[in-house]
Formats: sequence, structure tokens, C-alpha cells
Amino acid sequence: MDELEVRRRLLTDPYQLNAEQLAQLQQDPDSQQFHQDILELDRQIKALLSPPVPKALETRLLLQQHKQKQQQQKRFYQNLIALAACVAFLAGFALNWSFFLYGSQSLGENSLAHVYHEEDYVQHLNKPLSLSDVNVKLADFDAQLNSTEHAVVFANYCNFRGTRSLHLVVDTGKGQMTVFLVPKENSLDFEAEFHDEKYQGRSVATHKAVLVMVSDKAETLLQGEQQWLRSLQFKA
Amino acid sequence: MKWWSTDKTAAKKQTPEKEQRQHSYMQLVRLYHADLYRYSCWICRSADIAEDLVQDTYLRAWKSIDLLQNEASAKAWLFTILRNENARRFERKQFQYQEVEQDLLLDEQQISAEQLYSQQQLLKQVESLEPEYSEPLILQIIGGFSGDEIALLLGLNLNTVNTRLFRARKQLRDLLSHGNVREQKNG
Repeated sequence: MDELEVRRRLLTDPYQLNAEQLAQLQQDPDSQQFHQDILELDRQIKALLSPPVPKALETRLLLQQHKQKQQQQKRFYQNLIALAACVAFLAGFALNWSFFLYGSQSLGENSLAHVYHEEDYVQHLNKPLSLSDVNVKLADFDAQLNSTEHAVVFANYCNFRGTRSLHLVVDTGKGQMTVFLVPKENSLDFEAEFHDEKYQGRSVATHKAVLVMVSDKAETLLQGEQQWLRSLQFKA
Repeated sequence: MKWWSTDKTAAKKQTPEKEQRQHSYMQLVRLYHADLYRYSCWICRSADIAEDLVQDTYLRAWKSIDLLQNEASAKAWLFTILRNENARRFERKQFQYQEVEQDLLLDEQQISAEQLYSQQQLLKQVESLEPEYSEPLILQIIGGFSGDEIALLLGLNLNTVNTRLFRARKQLRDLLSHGNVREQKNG
């Protein structure tokens, strides 16, 4: 290693010397002096560029992190609240929506809704349907009507909250009675008796289906029920 | 297992991690804030801006403290962040390159007029170096970084850094000896 290379290396990095450099330095006082000169100049520059560090800086840096952390926490809780509010809103909305879609929950309410829906149309019906026509529709529910003590004036399929059912209107001579034949597997709560200001109804569960009868007169209902239970038969 | 108990254990697990993070941050502040501040003063030429820059640096460091894998490289990591933050500052606003504030760098109470003069000379000469030479030199002197670390910090290869360090010191020595000769001539 010639002298130029020695100096070049010392000028490049006077701090991290390898073994070779250290050995060389010990042998050569000139190089030692040169090394010390470099270090001295570095020290001067360092002193020159070392303004006093503000005492508050460290505290400020620690405090700033603390604030930042609190803010993050606050933001986290704010987000949490926002999320909760969002969920609550959606839940309310969904609940409202489901009430709107499935307004009536029980068998009675649902039946009455159907009765009111057809009320205007059914009032003027008096022409009896033939027994075979009615039985064709009843056959879908494994049921059969044996006799026609009372005339069936209306027979149609309807939807009981997703369950295909049969809507019948019977003219008993003392007033109309509506009979619903709802398959046993339905999504409504069974109600044995129900009524509102105008109509009253009774439900009878048989082994195949639920029979719901609705009329505006208690007497008609009582008679009709007995007659229907007599004449309606379910296939085994 | 109740549904809430899983939450609780998760929270318990998180706490030491958070403490660990906080602890590392405090360490970073304690160990390196002075050097960072000095370096910041050099690159901004203003004590106020330097302080802001150090604060911004630590804020960013806190946000991404999880990225810091190795404690040994923490100092170089902080210097890198500071350099990036400084570059962002220039992006935001074209900043007037000022002379180093004299009162910022010199402690006038303890030195004689002669010393003050020679310090001012030295400062002028350090500033007169091309930035590409002064940059690695300052990192070596103030930051105490090795050639490899400087190369990594500046995105240069080691040979380039070594060459620049050599030239920086050489130029500085030439300037100083030249100044001394002129002084002697004048005297």
C-alpha cells in the first residue's frame, strides 16, 4: 500500500479502519498525524454544525405521539359508533321493510286480509259452481267434498304468505262464509279463533290441512263449520 | 367458549404489542432526536423548520413503526424518513435556499473573535462544497454512518460514496490550506 493509497483511504473513512490500516498507522508517525488532522477537522465541522438541541424537543416528540395515539383511538371509537349507527339504521329499515312485506303474521290476520281483498267481488256472486269443478281444485289438497248442502260460489287458489292455499266462498243461505284450505306446512301462526270489528273466524287443524272459516255472522259460522267438517273428506 | 371471551383474549394479546411499539418509539426519540435535529438544521438551514421537520419525521416514523424490522438500522431509517419529508417540503413549496443562520450554528459566547472568524471560514468552505460531496460527508460526520449505510441512504453504490467522501475531504483541505496561505500572505 503506497502512501497515496493510505491517505486516500483515511480521507474516505477515518473512522472504520481495518487491521492493515491500523498496523500501517502504528509504523508511520506521519500517517498518524494525517489521521489526527482529519479527525480534528471533522470534530470542528461537527461542532460547527451542532447547534444546541432544544430541550423541549424530546418532550414534544413524545407528546406528539401520545396525541396521535389518542386521536387514533378516538377515530376508532368514532368509526365504531358510526358503524353501530349504520347497523341500527339498516336493521330498522329491514324491520320496517319486512313488516311491509309480511304485515300480518298470524293465520287469522292473514285470512281476514284475504277476505277484505275479495270482499267487493264476492258480494255479488250467487251462482253456484258445480261440485266437480270444486273437487278438481280440492284434489290438489288431497281433499274432496261429498255433498253440496251449501253452494260454493267462489273457488280460487291464493297465497298465504308463500303457501299455496285454496280460497272458497260458500253461500249458506243466511249469509256468505269464506273457507280457506291451507296446507299444514305453512309459515303462519295457528290461531283457533280470531275476529275484528266485522268478521269472526275459526280455524280447525286436520291431519292434512288447516281449515279456516270466516264469516260476519256467528250463527253462519257455527252452522257452516259443522256442515263443512261433515262433508269434507281428506284422502289418507 | 362464550362469544365474548375470544374478544377479551385478543385484546389481552394486543396490549403488550402496543406497549412494545410505544417503547420502541420512545427509544427512537431518546437515542436519535439530537442527531436528527442537527442533520435537519444542516439540510433546512433554519432552526424552526428543522424542528418541524424532525416532528414530521417522528410522526411518520410512529405511523409506520411496524415496518421497522431491525433496531440496528433504526437510525438510518429515521434519516431516510427525514430526507423524504424534506423532499416533500420542497414539493409543496419552492423554498428559498438560505445561508446558514449564524446564531444557529455558532456558540459565540465561548470563543474569541479569531476563533469565530476561522469558524465562519470553515462554515463557508463546507457550504461551498458541491452538495453531492457535502451530503455524504455530513452524513458521515453528523450521522456517524458507515460507507454502506450512506450508500443505502443516498441510493448510490459504495464506490461512488467513497469517491465523493474522499473528494469532499480533499477539497476541504485544499480550500483551508489555500485560505491559510492567503492569510499568511496578507499577514
